[in-house]
Amino acid sequence: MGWLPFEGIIALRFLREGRLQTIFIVSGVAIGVGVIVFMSALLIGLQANFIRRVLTAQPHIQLLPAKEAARVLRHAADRGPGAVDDAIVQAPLQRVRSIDQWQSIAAQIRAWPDVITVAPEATGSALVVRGDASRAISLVGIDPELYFRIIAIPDKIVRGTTRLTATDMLIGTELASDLGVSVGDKLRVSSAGGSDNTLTVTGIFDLGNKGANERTTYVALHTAQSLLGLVGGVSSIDVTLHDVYAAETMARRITAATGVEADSWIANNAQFFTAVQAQTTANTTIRFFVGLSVAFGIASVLVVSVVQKSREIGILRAMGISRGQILRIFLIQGGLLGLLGSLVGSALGLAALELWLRYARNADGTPLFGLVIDPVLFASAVVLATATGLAAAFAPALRAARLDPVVAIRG
Amino acid sequence: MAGVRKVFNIGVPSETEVLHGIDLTLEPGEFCAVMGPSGSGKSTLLNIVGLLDRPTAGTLRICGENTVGLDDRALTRLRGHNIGFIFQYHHLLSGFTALENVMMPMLGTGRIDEQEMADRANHLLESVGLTAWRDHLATDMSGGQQQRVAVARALAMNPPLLLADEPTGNLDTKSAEGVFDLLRRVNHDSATAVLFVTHNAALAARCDRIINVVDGMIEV
Repeated sequence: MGWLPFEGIIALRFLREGRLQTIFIVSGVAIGVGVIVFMSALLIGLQANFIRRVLTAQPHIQLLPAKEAARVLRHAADRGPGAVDDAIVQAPLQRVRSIDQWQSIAAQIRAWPDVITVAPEATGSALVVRGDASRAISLVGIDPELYFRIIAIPDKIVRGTTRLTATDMLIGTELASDLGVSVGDKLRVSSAGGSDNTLTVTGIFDLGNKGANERTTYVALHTAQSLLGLVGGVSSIDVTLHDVYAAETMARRITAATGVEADSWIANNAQFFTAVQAQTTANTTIRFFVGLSVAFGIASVLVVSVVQKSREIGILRAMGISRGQILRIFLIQGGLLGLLGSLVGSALGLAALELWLRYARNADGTPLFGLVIDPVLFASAVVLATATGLAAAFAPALRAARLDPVVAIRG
Repeated sequence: MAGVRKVFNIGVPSETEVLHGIDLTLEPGEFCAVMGPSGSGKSTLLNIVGLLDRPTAGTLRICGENTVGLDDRALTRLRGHNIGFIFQYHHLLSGFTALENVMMPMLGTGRIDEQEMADRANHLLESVGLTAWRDHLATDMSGGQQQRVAVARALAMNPPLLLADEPTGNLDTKSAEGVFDLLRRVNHDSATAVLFVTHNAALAARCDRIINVVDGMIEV
């Protein structure tokens, strides 16, 4: 026992002697910690999963051209001084427009250290026609080299390749079946502006969303630019960052630096973040109250222990053991109960997570969502529970330290 | 100690003065019996000498050091280094072995090397004839054996003063003899002063001096 300080030795023995009490309170703490660990891991997993899903389908920040501003139409040029003039303000039509000076803006942003990829995009509506059938589509002109780094289309190709020369196009599975085309077939694409082009389907992808598979098509940037009448221009610039959570502040920085409107994925998914916020608040509340009940449990067990051990405390005091040492003996007991309980609780939580991973599955047998078991979560649970135990032990420990040895020995 | 008075429940209707001005000096190495009827104040006297309780009035010097006005920390230190206690109901720590019980006061100081503690504790157990029982829990031993462990424990810090509050009161005659002989031997071998509270006149008669406490006063 040489490696333990005196107070630690006595604390351990006291806990061992009150075996049943110790087992009960450790179980209580363990259940509380287990529930918290399990819940937190699920919540973190859910968030991470959603974020991953969102971020594999959209850029972190999207730069858009300024909206066309409404202009006031005056009735007459000159009515003389003092005349009241009414005006008709109409919301303007939003045409497909290019981002002004997009090349220099893209270069400027690309140079920032936080930015990973900057990919231009020319997007507009068009119609695909094959025989009698026609479908409205969203024509996305991309530079595959850059764009695939943001959205991994190659991973989503189900048939064909991702080759995108000037006469190639990639379409979704829904559109392919609607039009009855497969890889190698040709489609006529006409834009609202009247220009058209015949393109070859080189690949069919599945974005995991029916609407997207119906509407989204990818073509080379130049092809889209000429179809949409955006020669040399782009309708948006996609940006990815090292730190996805910095997207909103980065978007503001971009707007401030370039004057271009920038939307972050955080602003685009505000509803999700509200939900996450609510969940986090609920989780924190539950954690707080579980922590509180753990603290009360430990405190009540120690209060009883102080009464049971008052004779021993008296003897120790008679032996020349100081008040501070008695205080520490009981503080250590509280800390140990918290530590032990949280270790067992972490194991319980881990077991529950394993079970959950094994049994909570989609109909096709794949996991509902991936869970990363984060050691930091467990470490923080253990540290917090130990600190809670120490804090909870304070009142009983103080009581033990203040026992009058004469009364305590007399029993 | 001089003029020591102890009043309990001060300011309450049940206020009682238990000790009415006690003057007592114990010489180094003296073996002194304290006798007197139950409720006469013997235990209170012992608790005050043992620094577990404070006198209401009067002065108390332990090994030349005046204890009046010392804070709890200083009293605890003084107690730990100078006074060994033996109680009537042996009061060993139940979850610990005989050896651990003897080591406890040394452990508490946190300043003694573990090997030294173990050596000293083993030596003390040997001197009380319990080497064979060193690894037994206190609860597995007979009353006489426990009391001998308690004596060994009281001697752990090699104190100049031993306070024994009816250490034989709860033992059969043979065990009581054994414990008394042990105390006498300790007193003789290491010149430890002993204050020995007892109801047993035969044992008291074998002490150097007998103090009779009656109604909170010393009868000469």
